[in-house]
Amino acid sequence: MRRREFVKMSGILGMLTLTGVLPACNLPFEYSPYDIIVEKEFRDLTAKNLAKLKAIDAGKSSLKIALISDTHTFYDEFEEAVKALNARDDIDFVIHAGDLTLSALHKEYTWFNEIMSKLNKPFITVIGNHDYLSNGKAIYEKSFGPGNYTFTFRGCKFVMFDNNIWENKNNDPEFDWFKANLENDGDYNFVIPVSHIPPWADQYNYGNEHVFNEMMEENDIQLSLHGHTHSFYHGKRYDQVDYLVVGDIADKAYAIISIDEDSYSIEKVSF
Amino acid sequence: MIKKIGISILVFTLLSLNLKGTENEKIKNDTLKRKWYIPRAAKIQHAGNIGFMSLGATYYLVDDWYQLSIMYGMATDHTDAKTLNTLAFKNTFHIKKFYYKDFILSPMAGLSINLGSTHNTYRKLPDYFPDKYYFQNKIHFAPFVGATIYHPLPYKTIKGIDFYFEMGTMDNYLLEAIRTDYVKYSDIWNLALGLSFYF
Repeated sequence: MRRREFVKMSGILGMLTLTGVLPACNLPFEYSPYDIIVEKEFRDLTAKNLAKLKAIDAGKSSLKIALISDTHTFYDEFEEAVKALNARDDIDFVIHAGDLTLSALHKEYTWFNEIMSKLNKPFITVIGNHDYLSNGKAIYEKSFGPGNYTFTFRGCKFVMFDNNIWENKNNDPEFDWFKANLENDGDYNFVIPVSHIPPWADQYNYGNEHVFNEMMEENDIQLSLHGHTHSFYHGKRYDQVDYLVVGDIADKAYAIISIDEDSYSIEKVSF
Repeated sequence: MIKKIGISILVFTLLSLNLKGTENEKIKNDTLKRKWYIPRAAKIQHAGNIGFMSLGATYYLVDDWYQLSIMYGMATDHTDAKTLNTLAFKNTFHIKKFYYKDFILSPMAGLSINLGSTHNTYRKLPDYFPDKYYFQNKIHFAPFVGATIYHPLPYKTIKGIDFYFEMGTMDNYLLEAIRTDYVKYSDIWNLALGLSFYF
């Protein structure tokens, strides 16, 4: 009798739990901090955004890009940045120069994507060193796509390059891929590489620093875009290539790159 | 943010006050003498950030209100590593006991210390990193709240069984919920379900 009552009670409790209480709480099951969970709407975002860019490519020869970086877990400032960018209608798209997250956990990627989904312009990203932690690279690839890719927009070629070293088991980035793609193979006005780490920053030893910069010079690159250092820098550090590094989003600033066929200008904008 | 920190302090204070009260509610339902290494219960758990399925042994550290469960869990889904192994030290505090017929309902709170590793998880950084480049990410502190429903069983080997659920979170997420306005307390929880078999 006791046992029967126990089974009955367990059954009632189980049914209640499964049908009512749990779905109402909207509590998901998680199997490890390193789960690779990406909601469907946040998958293949690079391809989805490149399709949006393709749709607005024609009809104009000039372009305006906003550059942000290192949003990490500065979610409040990040939301403000998205609002500030949304208020402008002269920006064609936004580039995020890496470090979308702090620890590359799936919830951090989700929070990044939730905030970025409110942006009313296309956006593209490169992977940063923090985004590599734990299973972060796999989450990045599922959510965005490959770390290395190129695209063209209004006469410019963009070379998006994963140049992280230490988190890649201290292996060099795919410099061969980078060098091959820096080539101006389509009579473009500009070839603009975007990578997270500028060549003079911590992860680059003396050799790699100069290998990186020489590739730029050999291919006559004029402008290279970065993040990582958490401080704004714009200048020709090695005389020839113009390096633009944007600080973290907690600085409450982004950079605007205006390109008009054969000339460009850089502006730092605070919000 | 200040409001959030205030709420956090209040919750922890209330929990600890409740814990003090339970000391007077000791129930001596076990008079058997047993060796220290023989666990009081075996646990099987689904989810809760320590594997798809985890198994463990429970020891009573202070009577029956402070329990330590040592759990081992495995996950193959959702992870890039082939199998992700997790070792968890779950400190569980049973706050109170409510009796209904043959059932004992007991709300609980606890802190689990979870060890798991996959790609780029470090306790000590490899030599090529400068010191303190990253905070360690192999060990996570996971607070949880939940409840158990216990029922005694008339067997010699298994004297009782309980069903439990836990809502848990993790150090990284809790910190963001406290630190930022964007991350809400409601965003950071996950669920675990389990059974304990008492010897």
